[in-house]
Amino acid sequence: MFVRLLPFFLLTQLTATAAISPLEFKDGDRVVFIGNTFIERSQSYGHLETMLTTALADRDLSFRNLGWSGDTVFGDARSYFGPPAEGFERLTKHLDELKPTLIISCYGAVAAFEGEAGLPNFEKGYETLLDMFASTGARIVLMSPPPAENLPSPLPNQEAHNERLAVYRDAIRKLAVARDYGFADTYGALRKAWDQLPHPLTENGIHYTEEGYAAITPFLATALGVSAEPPSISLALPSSEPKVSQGTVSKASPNDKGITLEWQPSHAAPLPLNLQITGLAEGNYAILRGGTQTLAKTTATDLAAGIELVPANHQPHIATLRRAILRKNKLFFHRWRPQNETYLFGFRKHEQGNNAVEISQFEPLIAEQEAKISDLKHPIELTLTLKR
Amino acid sequence: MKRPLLSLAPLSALCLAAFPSLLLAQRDLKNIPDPTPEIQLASFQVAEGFEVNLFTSDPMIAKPVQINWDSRGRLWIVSSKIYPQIKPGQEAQDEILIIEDTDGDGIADKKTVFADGLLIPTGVLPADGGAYVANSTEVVFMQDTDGDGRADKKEIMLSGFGTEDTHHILHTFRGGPDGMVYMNQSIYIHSHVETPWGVERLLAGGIWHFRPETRELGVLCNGFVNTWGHTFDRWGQSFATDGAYGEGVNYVFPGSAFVATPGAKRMLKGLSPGQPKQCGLAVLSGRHLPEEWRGQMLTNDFRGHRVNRFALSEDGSSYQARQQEDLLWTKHGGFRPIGVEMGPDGAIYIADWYNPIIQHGEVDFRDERRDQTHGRIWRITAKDRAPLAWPDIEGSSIEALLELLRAPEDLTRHHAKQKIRQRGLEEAKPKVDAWVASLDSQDPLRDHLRLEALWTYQSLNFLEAPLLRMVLAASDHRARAAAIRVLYHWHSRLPDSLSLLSTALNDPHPQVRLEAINALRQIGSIEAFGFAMSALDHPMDEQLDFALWRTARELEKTWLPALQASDFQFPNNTQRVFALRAIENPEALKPLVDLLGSAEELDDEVDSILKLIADLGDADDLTSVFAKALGSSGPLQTRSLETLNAASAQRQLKPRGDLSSIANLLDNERESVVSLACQTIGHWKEQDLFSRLTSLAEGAETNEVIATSAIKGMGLFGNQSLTALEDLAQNETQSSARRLRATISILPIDLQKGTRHAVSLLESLREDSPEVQDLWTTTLSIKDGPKALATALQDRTLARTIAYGGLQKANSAGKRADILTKALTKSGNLDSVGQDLTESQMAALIQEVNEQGDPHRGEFIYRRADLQCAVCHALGGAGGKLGPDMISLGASAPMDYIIESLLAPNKKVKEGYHMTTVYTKDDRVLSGFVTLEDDRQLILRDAANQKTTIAKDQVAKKEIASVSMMPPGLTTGLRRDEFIHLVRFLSELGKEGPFKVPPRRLVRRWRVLNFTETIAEPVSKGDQRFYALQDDIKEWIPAYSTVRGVLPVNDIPSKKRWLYLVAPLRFEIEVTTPGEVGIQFNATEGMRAWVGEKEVSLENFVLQAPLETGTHMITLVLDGNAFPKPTLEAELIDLPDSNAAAQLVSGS
Repeated sequence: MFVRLLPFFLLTQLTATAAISPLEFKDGDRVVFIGNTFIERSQSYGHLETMLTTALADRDLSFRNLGWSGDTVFGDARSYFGPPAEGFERLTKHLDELKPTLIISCYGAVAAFEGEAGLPNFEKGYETLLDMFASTGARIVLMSPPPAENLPSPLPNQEAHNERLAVYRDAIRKLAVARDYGFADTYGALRKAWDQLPHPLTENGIHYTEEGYAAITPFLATALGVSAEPPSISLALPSSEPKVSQGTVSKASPNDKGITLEWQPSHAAPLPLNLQITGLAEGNYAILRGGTQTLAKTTATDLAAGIELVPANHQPHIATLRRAILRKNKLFFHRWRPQNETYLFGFRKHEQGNNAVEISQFEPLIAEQEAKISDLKHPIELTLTLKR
Repeated sequence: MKRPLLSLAPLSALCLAAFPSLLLAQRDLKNIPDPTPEIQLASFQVAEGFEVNLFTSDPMIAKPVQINWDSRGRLWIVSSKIYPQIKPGQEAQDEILIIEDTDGDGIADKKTVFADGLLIPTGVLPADGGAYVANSTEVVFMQDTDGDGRADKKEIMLSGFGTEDTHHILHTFRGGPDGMVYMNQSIYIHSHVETPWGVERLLAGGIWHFRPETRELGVLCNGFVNTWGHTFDRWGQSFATDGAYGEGVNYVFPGSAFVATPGAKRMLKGLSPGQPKQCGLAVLSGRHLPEEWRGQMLTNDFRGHRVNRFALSEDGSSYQARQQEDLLWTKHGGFRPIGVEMGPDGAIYIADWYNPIIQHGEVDFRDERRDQTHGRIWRITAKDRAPLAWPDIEGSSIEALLELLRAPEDLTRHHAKQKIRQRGLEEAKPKVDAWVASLDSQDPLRDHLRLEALWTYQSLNFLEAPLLRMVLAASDHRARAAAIRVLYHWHSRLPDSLSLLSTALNDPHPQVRLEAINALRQIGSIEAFGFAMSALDHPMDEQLDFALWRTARELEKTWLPALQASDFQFPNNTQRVFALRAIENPEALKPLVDLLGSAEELDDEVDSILKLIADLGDADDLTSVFAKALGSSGPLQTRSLETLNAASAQRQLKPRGDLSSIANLLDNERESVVSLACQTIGHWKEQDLFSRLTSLAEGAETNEVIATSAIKGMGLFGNQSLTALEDLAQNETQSSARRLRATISILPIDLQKGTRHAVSLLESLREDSPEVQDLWTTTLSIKDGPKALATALQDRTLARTIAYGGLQKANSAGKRADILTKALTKSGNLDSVGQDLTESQMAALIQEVNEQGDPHRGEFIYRRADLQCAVCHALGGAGGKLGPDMISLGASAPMDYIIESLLAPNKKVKEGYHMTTVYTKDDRVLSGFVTLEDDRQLILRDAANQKTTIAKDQVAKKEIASVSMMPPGLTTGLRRDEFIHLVRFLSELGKEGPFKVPPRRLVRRWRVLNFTETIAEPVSKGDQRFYALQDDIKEWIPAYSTVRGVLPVNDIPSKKRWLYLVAPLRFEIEVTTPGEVGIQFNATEGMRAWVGEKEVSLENFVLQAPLETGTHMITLVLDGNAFPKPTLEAELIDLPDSNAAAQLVSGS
């Protein structure tokens, strides 16, 4: 029912790495993202999660983000007063509580600053981390860090850093193959698509902006084995039989108001809908939703070439879904990384430990948002009317 | 005299019956001041010539955390109502406000909410056409692009800042003269920030610098507890204040490290040790203020509800700070000045966080007394002086902005540079070039104007090399120093940085040399290191020494291998010793051991070499030390023996070869030598000498000090000494001290036998003694010690005094000693200490303190020897350092907090005063405060102020214990009325009135003479100079002045000699710039004085003497019969026509 169509360049990429375990999201999966800033910030934008939630709406999935700025495979950023080992322990504890069934781990961006010299240490550290991940019983996917972007001076040129990132990507892939884990080549996928992407994607060369995340999300999803091919509907008049790439569509029914199509998408993924209608009489046309709301004003010529309807047009509830995801992420952030940890759980808990009960009170609030997400993730039927 | 144990139970039970449960709420309400701004305003006392008005208040604003002015003369306020902790379900709703006084009447009339939806934002800096905002884990740059006054664009500049404690998170945003953003973080925060240049980590406190356009992030300095103040002076030097560590204003330079820097071997001090803790910092500048105020600094004592003022003057490479009369003070308990800024109209603005509760962790996050709604900005103006007009910076041409760099107002110059920065290099450069060319070389402001231009370029991210060279050659050293700072950041942009810096190292002014050392450290090459070390060719001071020391350590991997490969050589011994000492690397020890070989007496250099050998030396090095121990005399000999013992105790190392000649030292005439040698024999297990130790231990003619050491030495032999030690422990003809010592030595060898002997002995004792204390300590340091002793105590009875002493020790050892606590309580028939009061009992107690407590009697109780308060706590810098300084306790802490801290210290522990428990691989357990931890060793200071060094590879486990260093039950020996007075005294500390430490430089730490039998009598009865020569520190014991700063004459031990009641005492003074130094006394009749060994005359109550740089001992001998006053007061004063800079040595 779900058609997988991969762009050409991605297909070749996947063929090239055929030894990699297939990536799969299973019904009931508790997915945990782990990594550094790249993962951490994705929770405040929510694009990837929205994409996965909607594209895989037939499955019950929940996502938790344990990303932490500056983190390494050793848990550097997760330690407070102790050595990095304390951070590693904290991560172990968090995973213990979350009981993930699928871990998506993205490390290497920080280590890459060390270059080749730092590689053996990184590999050794990652092995230890992966042993710990494996002990949770979860399936594991290793994601390579994304590429860095050259922004104008005085920001640094990132060519050398990208070369280092490629080296780390290769090392991560090797680890994944050796352990029969899934591997998502974020670096490779984005480098291939680099010139087609809307730059700047990043704030500073290494950290993606909100728009940057939006732009790369289809590539991230694809790298994770989830199709992010935009849906398309094409109609060659005078035929009344439209062709549709995803979902089902009714016969075109011309009437006095115009031509109406009823599309039942297979999923609500936030991807543009490509609408192509040929054989129209020359002139200006409007596209309406539900017969009343104008989505676009266009021409027969443009329609013949195909126009794009943004997700907000064809799946308007996705904005609400994304808000629920962001709210859930924020609540979960307060749940797993609360402020004042020193007083709530740390060595000053004798002073505020009584307030630690508040932290578990975030659980029902998170569950509330999860329920909302579950309600909102399904596609809605779209009635499109083409009017002259 | 024994005192009845305090029992709070009966009285509180009475209260429980007498008062309804509402009382608690009433007690709380009573503590809440009236928040009406007019009432607060009326309570303010302002310095002569100034007046205060309310600029803005709630409901227009609430809870200001930081304030900063923008280029349009508007006040930006970052405000948090969520602090201290978001509630489940609560939306992050904190705001950035812009407040304006549009009609110029000195009262705000317009408010714009620039941003909301923030989570405990703690810093805001309007700059670069928007504002940098600290938003918990991130720094965001927010802009209003459509001109509606609200931010509509947000960019994450940095992320990864820790939030382990919301009163420590990233704060105090300041715009530097160099165009960078400076940001502070506090002690509990651990930040991990990715930048396009790499990852920056700052674990614990420090000040960051950040260049937004390149995203380069770096650390200016490390350490501090709560660095809630940072500012730049006119010449770009940084100063900081701390809200939890009271050393006043701190001079901060690149690479400097202050208190609580993790792993730091060495830290710098603030300029005014013993000051209250402070928040915010501003330099007074501008034409609105009276001339004599300009250049001084303001900071806030938010506990004491005061705005403090300091005058700084240069002192070598650092500064001296003199506290001046406060600008503003009040008794209003809600006034919490946390920010101070110079405003666009030249007035002083104080941000008042307004809150009766300021504790973070110590008071419940959800305590209803925490204020979430109020907040004020106060405006202070000089009477009869017109406010200034704020120039139109927004609309000005670059030429006009450049002219504004002449303005005396720091704020104007800052925003002029900021605005030029925003216009960009391309547009600005030709105009700045032309302006620099037009500057009159005769202009007295010339150096400063050129520096401003250099900073303008720096703000534009451009190094203008010709101008830099010009400023490097300025006649004003402050300009030269600032120019070097540019090279600190940008040395790689100039090919000849190294040679410019090597020239600067020979600068006549130490401040320039300090900057040059720091910049050379940044370059980091071996050449740079070589140049830096030549700083030693010139006079050094603490800051220079620190900077060079840090340089040697940071660059060790660069120069040490080169030195070892003979690719690099030091030109002289001074440099060689300095560098090798700095790095403490065993590989570098040999040349130092050679130097030791030729040493004939102990000096600082030899002393530190010995310390290094103790920590790092191998058997060969110890062999050299042994030779020194045998072949030298005096302090060098004792230090050598101590070194041998330390190496053996910490690392089980001893010299090579036949060591039996140690026996020679047993016949030495000096008690200390014999005593140390006894222990050395034990450490080395010299079999043939065991019997010598036994006979010393048993000998009736052996003095106690030597006998103690002999017994210790025996114990070190282990199992084989057991029989002999048991014989001694059971020998009823021996003194109980020796028998206890023997028992202490048995404990680590055979715990069961040891505890059995211990109980038998303890049972027979009635008085506490140092030996009994040591017995507790040793038992507690053994893993199963508490359990074994508890078992041995079953069904045995101890005297209450004995059991009580043990209880105090056991209480401070944490949970593992609970079993012993129970056993002691039972054996000693003691009530349990550390009582939990119910809320109503607490309320009743507070009422009683308020109604009946007498703070004067409380101070007397505080000073009583048996309570030992001053052993651990300082008051205004004088006193022990184990606990927090009590200087403003009353002004900051609610009374329930004080009472609870006295009764159950473990419940509330101030940050930085937690105990750490260390489990060693050989099953020892030690608790104390970590004074130093690096990759090699860990030094713990225990509650008795004893330091223990543990080799890092011996540490099995280390944990921060939620236990205070303060033993519970210290006040158990007080009667209820005494307890009430003590609490009243503590609750008055820092409040306006007689229990506020005055800002004068009064001698607060004294040494008085403990007259014991061992002190020889002066040959002639009138020879008082004799006391000035008594340098055996064991007999000089500390004494501290009262809060008011006087020493009661009755507190000075005295002895009747002939016609006199001789009371000798002394204090120390540290001179940093030589010259005539003066001390003024409240009376000098019946007083003689010596500086060192030289008697000085006292005229007009003043001691005046020319003093060289260094620490000087001033000895006084009072004749208690002739001295006319009941108390002695001594104050360091400035003498006219003297350039001398000096400070009183404080501490414990």
